Amino acid sequence: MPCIGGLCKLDGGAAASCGELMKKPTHSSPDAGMPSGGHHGHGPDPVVEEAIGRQLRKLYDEVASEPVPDRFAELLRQLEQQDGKG
Amino acid sequence: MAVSQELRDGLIGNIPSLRAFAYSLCGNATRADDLVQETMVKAWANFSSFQEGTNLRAWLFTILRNEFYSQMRKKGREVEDADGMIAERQAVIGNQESHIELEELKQALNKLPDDQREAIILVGASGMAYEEAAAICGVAVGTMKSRVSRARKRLAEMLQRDEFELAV
Repeated sequence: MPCIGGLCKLDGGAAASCGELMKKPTHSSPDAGMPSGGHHGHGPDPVVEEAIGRQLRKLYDEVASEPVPDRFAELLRQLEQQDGKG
Repeated sequence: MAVSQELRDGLIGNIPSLRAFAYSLCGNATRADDLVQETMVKAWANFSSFQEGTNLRAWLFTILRNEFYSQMRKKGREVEDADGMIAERQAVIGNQESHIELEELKQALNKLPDDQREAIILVGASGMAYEEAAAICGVAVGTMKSRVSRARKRLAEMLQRDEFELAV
């Protein structure tokens, strides 16, 4: 019985510290992802994923919100003129 | 046959997103605008085959996409690779921060397989629905979903590693 009691305490302790670690993933993540390689079910860091999503939209939106360069208005005029002749 | 006012306006209205799509695909502003120009010329010449009332944006994106790949087959990708190397050096020297820089993202995008790159640009960057992106790329919706998810994973792996290397 004392043995089992001891194990229980150990388990409890380990679980508690594990829980603590998982609550603060931020700056320790480079260590966590270091050489262990090819771990299953361990998806990408959600913080990194979110940053990627944000930057992807930024990359796209920055260009999409630029004023349209004059060359395209000129191009449309040419296309319409062609039609007029055809 | 003359192009209807509605199609003409639709084409003009889609220029900003065509430019954004082109730039995200090729990472080069001049080449992106050349791609858009080529797309507009092709669209204009083929408007008679467009079914009015269907999705004009998807139709235009499909033309741009096809143009991009056919140019890539012809020219190869030497220019982009050279650009990528310069950007890589700058990132290593200049960036001490742990957030993801736009330049790093562009490099990482450039390293993705073509099918994954276009998938993550259409869905992740432009915010398009899986269905529309699948139609543009001519694949099933399920295929599009799995390409997007693989692209997300690959990007995260590449950028997470960069972050680690830079922090050392």
